[in-house]
Amino acid sequence: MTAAAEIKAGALKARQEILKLDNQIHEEVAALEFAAFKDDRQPTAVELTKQAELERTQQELRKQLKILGFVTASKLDNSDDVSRLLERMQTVNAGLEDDLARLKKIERFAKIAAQVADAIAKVAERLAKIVASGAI
Amino acid sequence: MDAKPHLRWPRMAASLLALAAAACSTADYTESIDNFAAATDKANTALSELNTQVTKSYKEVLDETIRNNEVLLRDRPGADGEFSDCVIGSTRCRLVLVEKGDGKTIIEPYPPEPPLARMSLLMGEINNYAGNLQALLRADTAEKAAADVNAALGSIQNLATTASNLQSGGNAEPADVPEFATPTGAAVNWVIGQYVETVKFKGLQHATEAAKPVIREAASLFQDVATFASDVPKAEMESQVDEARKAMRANPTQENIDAYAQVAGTYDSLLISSPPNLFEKMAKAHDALADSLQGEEVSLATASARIEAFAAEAEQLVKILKDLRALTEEGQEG
Repeated sequence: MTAAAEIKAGALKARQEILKLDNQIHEEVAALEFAAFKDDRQPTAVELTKQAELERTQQELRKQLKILGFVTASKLDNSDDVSRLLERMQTVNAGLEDDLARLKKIERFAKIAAQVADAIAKVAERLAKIVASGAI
Repeated sequence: MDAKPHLRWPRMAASLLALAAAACSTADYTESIDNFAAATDKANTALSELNTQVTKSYKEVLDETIRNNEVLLRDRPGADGEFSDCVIGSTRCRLVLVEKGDGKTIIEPYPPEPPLARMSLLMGEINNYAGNLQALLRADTAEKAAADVNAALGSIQNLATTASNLQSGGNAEPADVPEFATPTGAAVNWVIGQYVETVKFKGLQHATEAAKPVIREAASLFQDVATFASDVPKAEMESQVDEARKAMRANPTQENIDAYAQVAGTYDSLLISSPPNLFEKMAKAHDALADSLQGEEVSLATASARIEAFAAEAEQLVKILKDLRALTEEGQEG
């Protein structure tokens, strides 16, 4: 597995080149459209052919960008960094679950204390009844 | 194993004193942590949406190569001497794309698997973490424990009444020990409540402190993946804006002018609410929450503001990504 930074650096370079070309094509198409607009005319056959050619190249670039997106996402997903972070996050969550368990324990101790107090009270009540009856 | 009781009590007392000195109680964090959890859940949805869109677009690219006869779509060929997929003796029936060369070299399984399998798990863990913070904060143990102590005090009241009866020969009024409000009971309840509060507060402090570098690094990874993944809807939108512009140039009707403006507006929303920004905001919001709990120079108000900014971004991005998906699906159906 490769480190995420390495994957990102390689992919960013390819991405920058695609984006730059895409922008170049966009500007060329815009220039063709503007020329016709400025002269107040419809685009010539030559201009239309050139525009169609530029647009085909642009479609191809978009396709390459989609492939790059998918492949880079897959590579980043498989990087060492994701495994390491996943493990650390699981440890944090386990700690939080321990804290919750500790709170439950406090609840249990409080219940035990209540039961003990209750038992003492009952015994005392019984004892009092016996005393009152003159048995002691 | 737990420390010995005689060692534990002084520590507990020290914790209680420290807590009493602290300005905030955990209750003050309820709203911020709830908002953080809700926004994290939305960020999880946004990542999942990006994962879906990247996969869908990639499948479309593969479909085109199949239609153009550049690759062959077939059942997975068996290794030497083994059954191929999709025959009676097979255990599986899976499709793959193979190269033209030998017809057996697998390029890709078909349909493609979503690429963010482990990152989705990581985001899921962050989501669980936010849920665990909420659960710790909301644990009603203090109330339950106090109720049990109060029940015990009720028994003590019975004991006091009995003792009075003994003294008066059985004609005593019920002992004047107001249930749930004796100084002892109040003190016991207070100690339990404070101890629970300490456990909660320290739990939040430790967890956020430990999670801080992890979430920061994870957010940076999500930012990276979102940068590449969001190029996919951007490419779709660029294409749609171009189509609308061409239609408007060829035939400048009001309908075409409006359609061009509308699709440009949709693309603009996506660009403004940049997916990578969402994860940057997630890291900043969590950093502020952790720092505020540590008593560092970040107030709870600042933390809340950053969480709100993260929540707003998450809300908006999820909506935009869903709208875009609907828009591209609509475009394909049309």
